Amino acid sequence: MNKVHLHPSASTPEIFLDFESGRFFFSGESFPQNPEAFLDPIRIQLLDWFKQGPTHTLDFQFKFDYLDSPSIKFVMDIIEEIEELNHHNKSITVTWHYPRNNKTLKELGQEIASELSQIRMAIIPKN
Amino acid sequence: MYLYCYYGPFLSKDLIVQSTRFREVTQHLNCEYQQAYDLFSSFIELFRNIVQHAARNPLVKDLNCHASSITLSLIAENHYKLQSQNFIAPESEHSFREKIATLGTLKEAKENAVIGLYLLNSISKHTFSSNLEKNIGSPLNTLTLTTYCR
Repeated sequence: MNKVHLHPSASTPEIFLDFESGRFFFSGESFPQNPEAFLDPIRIQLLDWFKQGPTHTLDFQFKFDYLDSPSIKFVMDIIEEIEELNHHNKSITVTWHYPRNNKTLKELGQEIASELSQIRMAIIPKN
Repeated sequence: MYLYCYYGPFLSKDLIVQSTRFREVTQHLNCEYQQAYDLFSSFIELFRNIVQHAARNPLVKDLNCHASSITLSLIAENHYKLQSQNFIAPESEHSFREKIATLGTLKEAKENAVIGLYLLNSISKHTFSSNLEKNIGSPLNTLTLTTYCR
């Protein structure tokens, strides 16, 4: 399980999980027709890996163009777990990229970030 | 003026086809990017709400008789109304009213499993409304969700 790369489809994002280097990347539109079947295996893989206590620097990049409610819950679950990891003094960066003219995704990132106390999530516009 | 009407079926597998159709409709409107995004987002959440919560009328045996719907209408220049209707079991009514009452913050919405309703409320700038009506002669009630986008 060193790397997972899911290519984007009409309703699912590109997902790249590199467990070896600690780099994780989510990009595109996410409104899977069966959210549990698509998102749960990713969530389980990540959370199982978190439980093993990764020791190196971790970098999470969220670059969504659209997120539906199950996908928002998925992201919030993952970010909550990342925050738990940070209790163990890992070097972790989390970045929320939003389309420059998308106020809804910008506010969503700000709202998720406002709930975090252990880590800082950078929120930056993308072109 | 109606711009889009869909009367089902509302199954997960229909989401992609209908969302593509809905997006095509909004692409032909005089919408800015943000408004088109918000309309699309509202449509997806209304669709998901029907998939998850609509009750099937036990008095109707024909599976092709679809009782749920989503409509998009233009009510003024650059002002749109999105509305969904579906049957809901009377015993679900109380829990639905409780859910509507928990649209505080995103975190609270997540804890109460109402992120979709929270999004609808936030996108429509708190003009999102729900209405439950009793149906004479039917064991089910009708739920109407209405959201506005301008």
